[in-house]
Amino acid sequence: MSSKDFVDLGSGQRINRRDAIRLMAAAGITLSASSVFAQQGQASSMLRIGAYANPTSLDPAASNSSSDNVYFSILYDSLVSLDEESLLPQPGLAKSFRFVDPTTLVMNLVEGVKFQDGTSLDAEAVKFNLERYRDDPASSRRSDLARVKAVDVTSEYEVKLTLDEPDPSVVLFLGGRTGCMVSPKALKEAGGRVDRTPVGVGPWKLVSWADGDRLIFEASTGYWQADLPRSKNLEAIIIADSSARFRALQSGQIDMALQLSSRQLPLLEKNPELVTLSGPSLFVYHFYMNNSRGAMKDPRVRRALSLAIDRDAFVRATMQGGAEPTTQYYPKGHWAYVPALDEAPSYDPQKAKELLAEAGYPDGLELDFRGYSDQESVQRQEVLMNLFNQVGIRGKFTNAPLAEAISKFFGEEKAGDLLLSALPGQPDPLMAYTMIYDEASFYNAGRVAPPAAAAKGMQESRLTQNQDERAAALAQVAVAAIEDGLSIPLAIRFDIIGLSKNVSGFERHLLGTHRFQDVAVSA
Amino acid sequence: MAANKRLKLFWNRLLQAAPVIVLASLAIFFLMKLLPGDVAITLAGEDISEERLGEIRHMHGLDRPLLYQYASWAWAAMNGDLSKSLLTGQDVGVLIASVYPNTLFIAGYAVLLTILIGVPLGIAAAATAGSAIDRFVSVVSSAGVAVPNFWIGMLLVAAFALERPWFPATGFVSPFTDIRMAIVCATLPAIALSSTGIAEVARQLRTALVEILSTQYVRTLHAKGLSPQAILWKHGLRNTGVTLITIISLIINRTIAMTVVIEYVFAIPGLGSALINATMARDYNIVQGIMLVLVLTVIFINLLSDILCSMIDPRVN
Repeated sequence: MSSKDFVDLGSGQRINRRDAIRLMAAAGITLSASSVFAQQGQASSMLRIGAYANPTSLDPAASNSSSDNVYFSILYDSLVSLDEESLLPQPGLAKSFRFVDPTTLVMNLVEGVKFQDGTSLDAEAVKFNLERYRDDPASSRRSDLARVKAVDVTSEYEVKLTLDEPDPSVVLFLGGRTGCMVSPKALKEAGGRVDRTPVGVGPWKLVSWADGDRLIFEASTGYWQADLPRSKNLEAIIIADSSARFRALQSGQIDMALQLSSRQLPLLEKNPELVTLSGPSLFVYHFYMNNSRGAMKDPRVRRALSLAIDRDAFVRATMQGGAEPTTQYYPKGHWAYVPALDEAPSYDPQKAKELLAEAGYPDGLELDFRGYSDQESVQRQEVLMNLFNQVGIRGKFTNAPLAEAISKFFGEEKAGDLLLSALPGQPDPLMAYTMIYDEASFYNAGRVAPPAAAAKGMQESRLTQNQDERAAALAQVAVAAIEDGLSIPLAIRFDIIGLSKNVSGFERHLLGTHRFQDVAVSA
Repeated sequence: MAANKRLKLFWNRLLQAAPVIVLASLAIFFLMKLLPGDVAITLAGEDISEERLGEIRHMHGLDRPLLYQYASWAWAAMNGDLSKSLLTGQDVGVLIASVYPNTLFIAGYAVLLTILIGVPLGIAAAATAGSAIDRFVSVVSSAGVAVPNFWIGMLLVAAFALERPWFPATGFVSPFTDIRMAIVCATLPAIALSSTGIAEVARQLRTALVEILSTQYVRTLHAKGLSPQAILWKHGLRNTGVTLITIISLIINRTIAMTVVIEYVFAIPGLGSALINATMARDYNIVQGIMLVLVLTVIFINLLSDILCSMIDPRVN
């Protein structure tokens, strides 16, 4: 071998040319393989979400639809954060909050947080926002803060809320839209509303919004939670039809598809490229009742209606595994869940017939049912009517589109004995029970006062901040509601989300206000 | 002289359009108001009470007399202001301007496919009347009319977007942003939309051509020794010009209407999906604005069709 067959490594060391070439090739392979694996391990900078509705507004005060919540969790952070499973309040922009007495709530803010326009989130900004939610005539959140008498700035980062009567729900309201902080400077510059020019302290800020098509967001600079969001860019693509949304996920056009239908569940689970996240939400199918009409005035008739329903069969027949049967409004895991209600029998057609006979209807009776006209609602109505017929309850469903059906049942006309509908989630059970059972509530069609036990439970839950005591008081309401037949919960719908297998870091939120700052897509 | 007659035709049609627009807008307005359902309930969201509903109705002028509401809207529309969405507060004119081009692009693509495929099929069927080709075109025409185009759309997605990812399953790209991607995204929806039009054009053109080719003067042309191809192209097709333009103008109007369902299946942000959402939510201002634009579109297309027909066949004047 000649000297040119060797490569000099310096310090008198050398290797022959063939070995050098082999070493270099091996190094090249290793480097390129590691770069491929590095690329696989690296997060893509773009997260694409399939959303199900165009926003009505990106201003939390002006928005009138719960479908806007997905956009608020992208743009805004709220004073209080709600635990994903239990919905118990946790620190958010308010690093601590406590009731110093039953009508005084003090919050201490995280210091140094800035809005996306560079202005400070301080106690004055919080006061501005809360007073706006409470007082602005166009605000859809006024009733959330109706009991807040005053909002005072006690120091640069401390706010005191004085209530005119005890209301522990206020803390939970501050975990929703009412706690979303909007830049006062942006509001003033925009003439009091930021429907299309939102400025919050959330992980992303809005870049563009093409109506009915998509919203594009980019990471907020200087976000107060370090190293977040993991995805620098986020695109919310609006696909109203759940089948079209699923197809977009299958074809890789989106990384996540929110609120899929139970019909897609079998297809999702069979697809090895997709991951399914499915679990109870706070969306509950139920009957509203008008307890001031005819036979509906009798609690035995109302109880019979509930006992006539085989909820297991109803869910199997109509929801394809996308719901669970229930006789209450909160699923297991929620702090207000009542185990005793699930242990008691909910289906007893014999007992239903006996109650009807006691109430003076031994041969059954005819009722006026109301419902919605979409295909899935009609399917649910058919199953339920079949179950009612088996105990002698007869009738037919008169259907209409949602806005019309609600207007007729709850509005001036007060048409119908029962309305098959659904209750979207409320973070605090007291909010939900007040909405359905309170005598003055729009959704109490008959304007009938709830029974004493329920009224007592609602009042007691208002007077204490102790979570266990509140749970016990609200349990009384749930039990009284079933025994008296104030409404008929049927099934808790599952929140079904499809993800590409490349997505990591996402956790479902019971309230549906999913957070995306920990989510990344590997390339 | 012919140009003067066409100008007179144009002004006549325009004058006839004015009462049509007024009547159509009145009909739309009152039909929407007759629909049960209270938009104030949608606007109130979760914060609902009788007091709040009253406030909302007053805020949006919904408690005013109906004729007053119509007159306000009509006056503003004549001045170019189509008002704002009741639900989102967005300017209706801006909304329409952002979504209508998408609908027109898809509809235009579908009409182009209709002409490029339907016309040759009709000619082939007429030229070979009674043959296997004619029968094949007849079967295709019947299927095209009978099969719902949204179902064809879903089959196309399954075959060419999911099984073989040649086209996107959903979505739309504006031609002003990226013309190549716009065409790719619009291809499956346009094919689905064009199915009915292709069937109709082929069938109607075939019938018109066969009728013309069986007339006495065509027999005379044959007797004089003119070739069948020359008879078909120079005499047959020219005489079907008015029929073809009329059919295509009807297909354009119908295609724009049919985009409603296709936009939903393919998640295309167009006029149709905006109209469906607004109707369900009782957003009167958007519905009225969109319907006015559609009425104006139909009038314009019919006017254009009349002018083209008069250019081809002076007898139309």
